[in-house]
Amino acid sequence: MIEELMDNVKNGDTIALSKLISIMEKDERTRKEVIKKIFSCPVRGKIICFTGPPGVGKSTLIDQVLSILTSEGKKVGVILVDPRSPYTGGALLGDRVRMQRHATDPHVFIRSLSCAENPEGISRIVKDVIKLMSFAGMDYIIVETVGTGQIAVEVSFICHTSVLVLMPNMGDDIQMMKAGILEVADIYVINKSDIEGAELVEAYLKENIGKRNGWEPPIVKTIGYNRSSVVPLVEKLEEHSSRKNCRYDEKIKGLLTTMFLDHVDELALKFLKKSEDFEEFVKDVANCRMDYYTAIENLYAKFKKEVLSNEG
Amino acid sequence: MMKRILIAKVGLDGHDRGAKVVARALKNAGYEVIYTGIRQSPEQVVMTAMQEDVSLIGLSCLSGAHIPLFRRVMELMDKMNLKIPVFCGGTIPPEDVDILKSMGIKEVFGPGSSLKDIVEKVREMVGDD
Repeated sequence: MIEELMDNVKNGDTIALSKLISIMEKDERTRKEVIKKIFSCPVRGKIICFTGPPGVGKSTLIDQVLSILTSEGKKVGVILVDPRSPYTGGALLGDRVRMQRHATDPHVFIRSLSCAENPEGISRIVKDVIKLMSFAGMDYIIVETVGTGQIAVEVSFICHTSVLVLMPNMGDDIQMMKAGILEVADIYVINKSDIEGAELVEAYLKENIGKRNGWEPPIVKTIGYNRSSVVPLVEKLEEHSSRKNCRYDEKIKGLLTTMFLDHVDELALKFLKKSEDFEEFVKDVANCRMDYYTAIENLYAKFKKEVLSNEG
Repeated sequence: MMKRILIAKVGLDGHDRGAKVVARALKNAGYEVIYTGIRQSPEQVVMTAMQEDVSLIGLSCLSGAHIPLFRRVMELMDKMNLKIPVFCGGTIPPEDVDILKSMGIKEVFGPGSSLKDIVEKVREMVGDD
């Protein structure tokens, strides 16, 4: 069944693509199986990630980018990530609202995904859905992620081009420094630039962004609902993603590092959950019978013997 | 993975309060709700349901045009061979309920429906894993 779905996806069947994404989201083993089979297909699509705090206009910008790209005859896949409640598991995925005019365009495929609070979980799935969309023949794959921080950094490893969207009056420069993703973006957008204060954001960005590996990250001012203001952004996107991207190997290095850490992390957590010794160590340390450094050394020795040497 | 539900406003009215309240109740009940926003064509709704691979579609209409609009949604789904249960809500007169159900719509929630009732019926419609 999976084989058949994959064949259909390759032939441009969007229902099959939609079904396969659901299966991959649900079942980790199938997901890995699919990726192993399709990975050798060259990445044809340009992968672009839009991040930024809520409310800066990422979805509206993507809507404009979609209309510009599709008018050039490009096929575009869009992945929209919205948060899921850690309490009920429910989610309200509303990013689509801004781009529904593209819903019936056969060249556009939009998929919403929800993410829980753990960043590993979502980037695991997102990177595989990107690969699948690439396999489905998309010329561009656009990912929108909420907010800042770890998710954005991880997804940026998979993307050719990362766009950070900001807007005027978001707080002072300290807020921006806190954001922590200023360092990873390839293109900076000041959206809603018709609001007063855009020059201040621009001045701050100019001060803090330097040339990286021969690429000087541009700062583009846009007004989300104004198509012509978004054209320069699309030009920059094309320029960055089509130039020989010397940072791509570096990004894959980052990706493999996170994936490896993630893998070891999972093994370690599984070990702790099962280990009876762990409970003993907890009691020993709590009652000052053993110091925590010794406890960790002993625990690691057990982990190495019971898990790592049996891993094969 | 949570079951996914599409909440869609079909037609030209802008009365989205009901759709939003239902969307929020379903979110709080633990579903992933995809909301289309207002003024959607039947084509947009069906394509969205397809791309998002939802388990259930909720249609909302308060303009009075629910019968032709919802019928078009059902016809398009049939044409695309999409088998997804559909329920609906809005200012729907009691005498239209049977007509809507004869099109294949599972449940109809008119004015005054309780959220508790809607969530319970939704549970039945999507089924449990």
